[in-house]
Amino acid sequence: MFIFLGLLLFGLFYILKFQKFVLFIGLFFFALGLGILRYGIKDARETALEGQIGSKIVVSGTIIEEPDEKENYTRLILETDKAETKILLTGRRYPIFHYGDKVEVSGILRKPEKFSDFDWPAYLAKDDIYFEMIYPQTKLLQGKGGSRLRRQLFSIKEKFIDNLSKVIPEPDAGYLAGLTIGGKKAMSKDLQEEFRRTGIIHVVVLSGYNVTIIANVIMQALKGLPFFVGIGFGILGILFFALMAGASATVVRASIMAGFALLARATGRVYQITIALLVAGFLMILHNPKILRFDTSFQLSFLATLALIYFSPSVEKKLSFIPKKFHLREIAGATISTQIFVFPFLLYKMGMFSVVSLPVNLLVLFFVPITMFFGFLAGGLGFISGFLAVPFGWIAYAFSSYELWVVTLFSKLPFAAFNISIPFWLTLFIYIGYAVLLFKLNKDKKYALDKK
Amino acid sequence: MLWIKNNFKYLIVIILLGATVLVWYAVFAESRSGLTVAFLDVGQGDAIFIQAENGNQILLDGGPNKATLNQLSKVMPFYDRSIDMVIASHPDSDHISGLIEVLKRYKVYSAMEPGTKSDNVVYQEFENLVKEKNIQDIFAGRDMRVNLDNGLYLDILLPVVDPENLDPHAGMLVIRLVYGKNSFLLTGDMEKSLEGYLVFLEGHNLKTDVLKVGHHGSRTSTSEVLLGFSAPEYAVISVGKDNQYGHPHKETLDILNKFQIPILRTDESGMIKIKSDGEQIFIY
Repeated sequence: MFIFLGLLLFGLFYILKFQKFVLFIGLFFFALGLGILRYGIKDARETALEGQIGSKIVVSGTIIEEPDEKENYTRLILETDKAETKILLTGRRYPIFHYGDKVEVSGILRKPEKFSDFDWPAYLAKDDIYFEMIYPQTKLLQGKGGSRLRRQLFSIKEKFIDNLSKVIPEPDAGYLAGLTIGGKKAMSKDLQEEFRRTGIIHVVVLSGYNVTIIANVIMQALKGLPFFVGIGFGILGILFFALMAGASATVVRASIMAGFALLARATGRVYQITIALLVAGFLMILHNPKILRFDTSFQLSFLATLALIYFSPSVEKKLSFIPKKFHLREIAGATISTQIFVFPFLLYKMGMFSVVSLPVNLLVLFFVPITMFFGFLAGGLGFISGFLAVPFGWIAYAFSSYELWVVTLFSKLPFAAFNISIPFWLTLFIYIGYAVLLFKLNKDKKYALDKK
Repeated sequence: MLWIKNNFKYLIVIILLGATVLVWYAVFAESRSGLTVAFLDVGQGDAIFIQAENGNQILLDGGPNKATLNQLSKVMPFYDRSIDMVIASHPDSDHISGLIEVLKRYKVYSAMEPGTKSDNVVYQEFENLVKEKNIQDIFAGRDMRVNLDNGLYLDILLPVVDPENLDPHAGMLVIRLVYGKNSFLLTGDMEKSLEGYLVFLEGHNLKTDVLKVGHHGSRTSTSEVLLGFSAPEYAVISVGKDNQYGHPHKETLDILNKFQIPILRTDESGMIKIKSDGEQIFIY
């Protein structure tokens, strides 16, 4: 994965015409070496808890992330008071804990173990979690710890979801919550599986993948206004998203990249934006080198952003048969280009290929902005009065039932998704192919410009 | 704004169209006939939705999680955000966790429970919500009757004594739902010893059309004596696919087969909807 993303960056530099091949190879290995060094530093942290694996301990600490509610259990991330070590707690749904709660936990400390085919310890390690406790006894000591801003944001988010679910029945309410402020937790496992099978799970998982598309639409909708007002609103939209989603590291990264894609499309200054994107990617990896390997969301949003900046304009040109009205062509272009770009990666990482992904995305994504709009209105007006929220909730419900209908319909097709996994070398090979293709596409453009 | 002005005509048409669809949807949704009893497909747990012809709605138990909400959406029109009464047969988590989610989202007017005290946190959460939302809290016991509609009522058969200090399964709320000539025996997690006691109290009065098999088909429930006296035409088992307890147990299925009672299972057929016109029952 390391080398693979490295190569991608590599390819990009190539596009930018630093064609000093030899210098490059040198740079590449230099960077690789530095990277490994940085990675090692990140990994070397030791903690006092290490000696207590397997024994029953009692610790107190603060819940430092929003609880991750699953169907039958809840995951909490605890930071211990003394050692400031993170422990993942898997516990029952009730009692409900909140971000910032100070709790006392007693249970058996364990090291995360690999599942059959999933590197669970590595996944946790990217967030610096090396310990876990399963069904510990958890006692609330005191509420209202942690950052005050985040606490309030989470409580607004919770209330927002509450407002939605008071006027709209499930599963639509959960879907709308995921769509508007991210967080698939309100959706049932079965429904999430349907979204995965149809390749559209990205609309409810907050990643640059969907934020970009949404922000784009905000800008398009405000096209009549002065240019910078449009961009301003687009960026505000992204900011709002990131904050509402809890501003976790993953979300912030995704949002920054989405912002770049937006700027690139709006200004047409692809060259400068690429450098900005690379610098941002570099800084993020410098900050936490583990994301390069283990944060699927980071990898996906990087790929999707690339696709939107470089590939989507070319794809759009080929789609001249689709009317421009209602941004149909743009949506189709963005969807097709990102799909093409992320699908080898998804095959490699998740081992699932959704055959119906394209039609489902086209059928659903077109209505997503308007669904979000009414979803926002319903959830937002719910703060003022539940009664006011009702009509907008019903409109949002009409759209969401259509979208869920499409998803369910396609997911029921026997050939909707295949479980095939491709080996790493093939993935690498495909992406090198993509890099060459992109290079050619963009070179053509340059020629065209030169001729003018 | 300009856009709205330019397309004003179309907007009006769309709004009117939407309103028409809504009205017709409501007309169909509100034209009910007879009694509906739906055994919701909530996985390993119980949740039974009861709707009278006049629109009164009861949810008896709420399943183990939010799955109940998705199921409720299938039996209630989307604009209906209230339920008249929720009943907790006993304070175990696979029966009341989903009720908590329902209380949070729906306007509920009253909550009925046997009054068994339990220190499990789920039950405490349930009690807190009932208090917080000012929901009428009813402690049910034998000889209570809830009238729902003309000729439609719930009879509470058990518990007989105040079960405050009883084990949740011993203090089980057992209900008979009667509509005209039809009846449903809703047993929660009633176990064999309690079944024997119920037969002693009721004798041949127990005759019923539909028996909700106790405790998800566990071998600790469904005795021959209960089946003999209640002589159901159908037995419904509310159970989750591949659950960790191995429910329904083979012994229970064997005994139902021995009595030649057709078995309806939520893990096999999903939601089981039964309608009655007071004369006959219809399975959907």
